[in-house]
Amino acid sequence: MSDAARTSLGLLATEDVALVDVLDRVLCSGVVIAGDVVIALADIDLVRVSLRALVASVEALEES
Amino acid sequence: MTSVVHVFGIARGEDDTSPADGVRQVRDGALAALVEDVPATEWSADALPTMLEDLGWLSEQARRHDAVLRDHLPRPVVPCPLTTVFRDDEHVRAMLREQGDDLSAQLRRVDGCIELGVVVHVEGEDNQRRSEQATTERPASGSDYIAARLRRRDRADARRSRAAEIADEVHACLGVAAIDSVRGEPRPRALDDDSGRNVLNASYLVALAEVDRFDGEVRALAERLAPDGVRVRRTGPWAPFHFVGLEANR
Repeated sequence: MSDAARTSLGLLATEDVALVDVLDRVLCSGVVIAGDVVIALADIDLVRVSLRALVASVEALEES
Repeated sequence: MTSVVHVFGIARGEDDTSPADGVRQVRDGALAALVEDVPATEWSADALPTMLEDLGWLSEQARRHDAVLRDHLPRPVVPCPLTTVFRDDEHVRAMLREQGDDLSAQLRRVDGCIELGVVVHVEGEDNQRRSEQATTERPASGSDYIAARLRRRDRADARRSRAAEIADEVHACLGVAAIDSVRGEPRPRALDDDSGRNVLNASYLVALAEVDRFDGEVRALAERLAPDGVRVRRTGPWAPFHFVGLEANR
């Protein structure tokens, strides 16, 4: 992407983007992932993770 | 060291990228998966759940995943979730072959579009509650006490329904300037970086030509609602995570 296009789209440098906004996207697949859907690599190749597990881990981190 | 293949997203093969360090393409027909080789010790199905709980690792990988896709904009891309991992290139190619028609259709759908996010926070609810409790005088009687409690409850209900109205209004206004929209769950406080309460967490698929108009709407809403302690923040542009994806993720 050219610098001009970047500026016109108001693209921010990556460091300026809030992590929570990034996680909202890269851990989302357009559907709510419920439960621990971790599929074995050998079986289906695709691996997904439970967002709930992440929330729990962040909460635990903040409490400690 | 055994490596596996982490897929960022699917693009058109004709849109040659100037890829970031370590990013390469796996092609099949007109499609190109943007991929990188990653160590199986971190990205295999056994290892990944543990790695995702390491906030340092997660933060670094999430930002990289996002940055690679963002670099590809405004050329169309079907973004994959961070945790999209294949055993090897052959399995990536098989996926491209199997889902080729669908992926091509999705790339056409988001061609010339970007995803923009809007988060709305309502400030001051906790402070308001505290000051109300502090100024409440000692009730003269039991019925005074109950009346005061009911008043507080009514005010809290009114604030909640006002916040819901604001969220509905913002979403409706912005939807007009968008091709499609998705309203996500409000963020839990523990995951949020804002002191207010998140009442809207929505994503919009916006044509490049409409971005200025969309931003104009956001600014107008932000200015109008600011006196009520409402913050309207626009995020992105993002790859269209909320609007297209691999079959397995939809």
